[in-house]
Amino acid sequence: MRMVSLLTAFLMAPVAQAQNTLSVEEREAFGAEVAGCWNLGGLAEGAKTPVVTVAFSLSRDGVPVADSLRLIGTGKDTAEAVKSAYQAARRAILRCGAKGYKLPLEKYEIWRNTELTFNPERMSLR
Amino acid sequence: MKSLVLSISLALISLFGTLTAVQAQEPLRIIIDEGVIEPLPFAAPSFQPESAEAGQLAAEVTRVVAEDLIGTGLFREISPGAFISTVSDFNAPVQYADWKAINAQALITGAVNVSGNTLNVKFRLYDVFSGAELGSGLQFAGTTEGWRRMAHKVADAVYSRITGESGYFDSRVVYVSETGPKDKRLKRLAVMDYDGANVQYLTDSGAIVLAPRFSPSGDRVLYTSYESGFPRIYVLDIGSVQRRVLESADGTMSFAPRFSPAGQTVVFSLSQGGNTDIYTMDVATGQSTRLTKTPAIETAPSYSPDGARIVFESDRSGTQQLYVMPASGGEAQRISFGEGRYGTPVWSPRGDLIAFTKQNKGRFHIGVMRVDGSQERLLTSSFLDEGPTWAPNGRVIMFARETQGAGGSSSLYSVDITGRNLRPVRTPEGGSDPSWSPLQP
Repeated sequence: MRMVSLLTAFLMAPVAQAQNTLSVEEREAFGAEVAGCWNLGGLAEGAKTPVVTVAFSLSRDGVPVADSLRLIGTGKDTAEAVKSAYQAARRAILRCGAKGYKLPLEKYEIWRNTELTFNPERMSLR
Repeated sequence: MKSLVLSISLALISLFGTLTAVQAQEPLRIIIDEGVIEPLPFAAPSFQPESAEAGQLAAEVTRVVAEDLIGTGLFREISPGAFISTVSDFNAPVQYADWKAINAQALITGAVNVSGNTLNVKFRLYDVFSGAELGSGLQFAGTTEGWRRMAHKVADAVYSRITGESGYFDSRVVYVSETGPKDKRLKRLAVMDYDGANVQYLTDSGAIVLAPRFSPSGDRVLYTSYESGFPRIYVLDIGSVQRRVLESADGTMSFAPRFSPAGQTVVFSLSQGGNTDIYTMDVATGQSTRLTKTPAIETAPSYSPDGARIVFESDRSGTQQLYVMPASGGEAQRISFGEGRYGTPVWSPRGDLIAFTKQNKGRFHIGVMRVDGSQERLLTSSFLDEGPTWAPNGRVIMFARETQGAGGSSSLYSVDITGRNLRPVRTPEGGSDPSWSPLQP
């Protein structure tokens, strides 16, 4: 009986995988929430702000764990410019996530650990 | 058989377990490529007076810090009327929730102490949504008369910590102060804080003065005066207001001077026998060297920050255009090719851009281009804009704008290098020919 259960679980893996990814709509909605708080207006260089990647964890209610935010990726920019870009990204994540991002709880393990890459190159107002 | 089933089971368990483990460990990855560009909201509750005499100054320092930041166009102050918290103790814990509630993304707190003529200003900057201090607290000491400088230093530190670039608030501007009608205008040299405060006059209006330029250390000014009837270059010590003429041969006219980045050499134009070329002069010895030798008018030279090259204007092609040559002279490369005439080029302190004045189709513009002439961008347009000068951080340009008509007057404006945040600079009288100092020590 146990063997049957295991086989069933294995055969059902593709279905489980579908549950284990965010849909395009869910990813876009999450990205849009963060983007709404990503303000480059306080950065003197605007579009020339370095690309930074920030890793962080979220609690089940979608609130970023402040202590978990860390910079994991940058280009070859000056340390000061990267620092300011990271601060702007960090502010965006924390500010818009203060009341919890609207993420599907049943997929918590998927978004529990997230990496957001902030790339300003396409920003329109220069 | 039982053994075989068990082996398959373990293999499946192992495989499935591996798959799920990998899936669970892989973080969600998303690229954010759109955001918003709007002034960053900050709160600056009035700095705390730590002595009985400090009350008024504490409020004034706070006001200047806020005005500096607002003036960049990058920041927006949240009205104190919206504050939920008050800061009554510089060392008290910050109530982040109260500042988050009013969407203050940065919080500046400070304290001011006055003892006799000594002023101490300290401040802290907080990233409200991160719930943490941004950098460490800093303290500046000075005199009560220099309280505006203390405020500018605080604002510079805040600006630098948030934007990642150096500030420009604790700097000065030398310019030509103008009074009277266009046909009888009186001109004298003046120096002021970057924001138009603390104006001091350096010359009287007995002779026409033009194009003052700060030395790299900010302690001297070069300028052109018609005191002798012909244009001559003078060097003036700001502190003592003593001046001396840079000697040139009889029958010549010298003008458009600028210091080299090291401050030991002056590059300028010298007109002799109807021809104008560019020369350098060793300030200490007075020895001069000719850099250009063409029948054209070559003027308005400006060094690159590394002192290796000079940008200047010349009509050698038939119209006024911009050229770059080695600092020792030699072959010049034309860099301006757009419609119209180009003049008064100034190399950015960062070395990446050249600001210029452009005249085209009856309008004047202040613009910037890369040092190879590419990516020309016009920042302003008016009846007459001219004479750009760079802020020490290379982010802002100040220039003179003259209005049309017999009653027209000249005044100073600033604009950032994106063309945003065009603002008048408050001066007590008209102004032209601004030159921005480096940051003060």
